[in-house]
Amino acid sequence: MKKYLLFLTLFISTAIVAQVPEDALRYSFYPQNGTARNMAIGSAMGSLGGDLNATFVNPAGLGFYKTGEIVFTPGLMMNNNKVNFRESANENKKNAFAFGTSGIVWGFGTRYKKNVSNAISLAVNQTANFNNQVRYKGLNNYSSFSEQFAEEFAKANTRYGYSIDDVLNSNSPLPYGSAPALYTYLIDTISVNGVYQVKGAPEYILDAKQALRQEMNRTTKGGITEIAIGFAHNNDDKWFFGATLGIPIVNYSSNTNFVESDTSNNTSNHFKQFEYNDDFTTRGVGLNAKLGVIYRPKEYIRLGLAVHTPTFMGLTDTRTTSLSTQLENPIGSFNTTSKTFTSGQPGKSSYTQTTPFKAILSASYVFREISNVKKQRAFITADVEYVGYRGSRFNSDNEAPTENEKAYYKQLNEVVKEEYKGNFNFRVGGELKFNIIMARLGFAYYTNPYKNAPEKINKMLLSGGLGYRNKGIFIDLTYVHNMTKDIDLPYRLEDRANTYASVKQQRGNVVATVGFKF
Amino acid sequence: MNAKILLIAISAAAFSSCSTAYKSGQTPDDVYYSPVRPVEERTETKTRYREDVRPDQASSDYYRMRMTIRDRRWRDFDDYDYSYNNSPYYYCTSYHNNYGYYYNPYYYFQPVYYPKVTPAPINTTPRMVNLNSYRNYNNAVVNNPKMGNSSNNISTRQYNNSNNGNSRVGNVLRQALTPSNNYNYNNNNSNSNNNNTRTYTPPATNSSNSSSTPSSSGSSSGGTPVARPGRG
Repeated sequence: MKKYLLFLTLFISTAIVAQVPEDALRYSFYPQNGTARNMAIGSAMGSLGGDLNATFVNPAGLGFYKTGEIVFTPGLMMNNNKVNFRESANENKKNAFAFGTSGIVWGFGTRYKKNVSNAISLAVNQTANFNNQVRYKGLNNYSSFSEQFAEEFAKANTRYGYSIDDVLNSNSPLPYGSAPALYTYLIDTISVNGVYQVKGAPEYILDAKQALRQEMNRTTKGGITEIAIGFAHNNDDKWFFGATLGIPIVNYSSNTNFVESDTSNNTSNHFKQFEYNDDFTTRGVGLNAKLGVIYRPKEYIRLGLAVHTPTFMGLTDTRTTSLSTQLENPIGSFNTTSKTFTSGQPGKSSYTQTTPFKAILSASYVFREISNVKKQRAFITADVEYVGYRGSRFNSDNEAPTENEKAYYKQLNEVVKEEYKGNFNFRVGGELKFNIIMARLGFAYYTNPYKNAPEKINKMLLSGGLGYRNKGIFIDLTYVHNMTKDIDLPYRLEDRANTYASVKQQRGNVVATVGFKF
Repeated sequence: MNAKILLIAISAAAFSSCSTAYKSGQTPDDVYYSPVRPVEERTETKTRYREDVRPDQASSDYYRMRMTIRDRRWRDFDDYDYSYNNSPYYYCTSYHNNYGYYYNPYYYFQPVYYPKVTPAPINTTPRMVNLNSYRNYNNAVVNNPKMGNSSNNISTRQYNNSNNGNSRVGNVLRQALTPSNNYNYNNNNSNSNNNNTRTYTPPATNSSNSSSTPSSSGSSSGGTPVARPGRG
C-alpha cells in the first residue's frame, strides 16, 4: 500500500509540467524588430503604414499600399556585455546573424471606387533574437550555488517524503539538480544533535568565513521567428483597418556552465571544486492575432491604434545536466549526468505558455503626401505601447490536470503576477527625404518590467539609417544601438538573500533591407 | 541555419524572377503616397479552344479518350488492364495488389510476430524552481509620514550583492547559523551544531540514512535504484 501511495505521489509530481517565471519575460521583453527603414525610426509603426513591418505592429498600415513589393532584410548583431558580479567587473562579446522583416505585400484597388483598396501581405520576422553570452566571475562569501540543490532536496523531503533513494533513481523526480548533487556528494545529509540536515559541501568554506570563487557562463541561441499573413482595407483613404494572423516558432537553446571552487589552500576543508552544466532547448509553435485601425482625419495626420492578442504557445523543453565534483577530506572525485536519472535519455517536458497582450497608440505627421516623389519631404512618428507583463500564464497541456498541478500553476502564475508589472514603452522616429535619398533617426525606450528589482532595468535604443529608392528598387541601411540594463541571478534561494549580477548589455545591430517594387 | 539558407534561396529566386514596372519613371514610396498600380496590356489568348485545330485532327490520345468513354473495349488499350477486374473468374495475382491471396481457400495465413519492445519511460520533470525563493522578503519598519509617529511594515526583497555587507540581514542570519569549526562531511557527523533549516527526515525503514548504501525502500517511479559510488 505504501508503495502504491509513493508511486502515486511520484506520478503526480512528475506529471506536473511547469517552468520558471523568467520564461515569462524571455518571450515578451524584447524590442520591436522590423525592416531597416522601420528600425531606423525607432521601430515606430503604429500609425505610419506603407511598410511591410506594419504586418507585425499595426496591420492597418498595410492599407496604404496600392502597389506591391518584395522585401528581404538580413542583419548582423554584435553583443558586448559588461557585467558586475559581487564587485568584480567582467566583459564578454558575441556576434550573430539575424534577419528582420522579409516577405511580400500586394496592394490592389477595387473596380468601383477610386479611393478604396485592399492589401495582403505574407511576411516572416525574427521577432526575438536570443543569441547572447553572459559570463562573469567573482568571489562570494555569502552563498553557494549548491545550496539551491540542498534546498530543493530538503523541501521535497518535507513535502513529498522523498528519501535519498527515491531521488537516486533511474527515473528520478529531481533528476537535474538534486540527484546529480547527491550522487557526487556535492550535497549530503549530516546529523546535528540527532537531526538530519541537508548541506552543500561548499557551505563548509562559507561557514569558515572564507569565500568561494564562482564563475558563470551562459550562452543562449535561437529566437522567435514569426510567420504572418496580414490583410488591410482602405476606406476612402481615411479609415484603414487591418488584421494579422501570426504563427511564432520558438527555437531557444541555453547552455549554462557554473564553476565554484575553494579559494583557500586548505586541503582538509571538505570541498575543492564543482562544475555544473545545464543544457536545455525549448521548441514550440504559437498563434496570435494583431488587429489595428488607422484614422486619417486630414491630410498629413495619421492616428493609429493596434491590439496584439496574447500568443498561445505549446512548448517542449529537452534538458540534460552534468555535474563534476571534487571533494577533500576524504579526497574524492565524482561526476555524473542527469541521463543517469532520466532513463538514459534527455528529459522532456511539455507545457503551454501565454504571453502578455499589447496595445499601441500612435500618431504620425507626414509632410507632403503627394504622388510626385521629388516633392515628398519628411515624416515623424511616435508610438506608445503598453505591455501587460504580469499577464503571462503557464498551464499544463494535460487533459485532466491533477490538484497538485493546479496548485503549482496557481502559485507559478501568482509569482509572475508578483514579480512583473505592466509598463509603457516609447518609440519615436523620423525621416528626411531628398528625392531618392533618405536619412532617418529613431529612439526607443522600454521601461522596467520588474515590480521589485534591486536596480533600474530598462532598454534604450538609438538608431539611424540611410535609404535609397529608385528604378523600382529600394535599399535601406540601419544601425541600431541597444543599451540594456538588466540583472542576472545565477541561482535563487528561499532562506538566503539572493545574489545577482548587474548586466549592461551594448548590442549593435546592422540591418539592411533590399526591396523590389512591382 | 537551414531555414536561413532556405529563406535566402527563396528570396534570391523571387528577386531574380521579378520584373518591375518602375524601371523608368518615379519609384513610389507607399509611406507618403501610393499610386494605383500601372496596368499592363494583356494579350488576349484563347486557351480553351483552338480554332485552328479541329478535334478530329488532334492527337490519337484524344480519340482514344473519346472512344474509351463510348466503348469499354477501347479501355484495353490502357496500361492498366482493369477490365479483368469485372470478370467473375478473375483471380487477382496482379502486382497491383495482393488482395486475391486472402480469397484463396488453400492460402494459409501465417502471422508474423515481432518481439514487443518497451521503450524507456521519458522523464517529464520540468525545469522547476523553488517558487518561494521569489518571495524571500524582508519586513522592514518605516515611518509613515501620514500617520505621524506610527509605523508601517513594508516588504522588501532580500538581495546580497557585496562581500562586505556583513551587517545585512542575510549575513547576520548566516553568522547566527554558523556552526563550530568541527566539521565532518558525512552522515555520521553529530558534532556540528549547524542550525540549518534544510532538514531531512529519513524513511522509517531506513533509520541509518546511509548515503553510500542505498536502502531497499527505493522509488517506485518505474525506474531502478542508482547506487552512489563509495566514498573513501
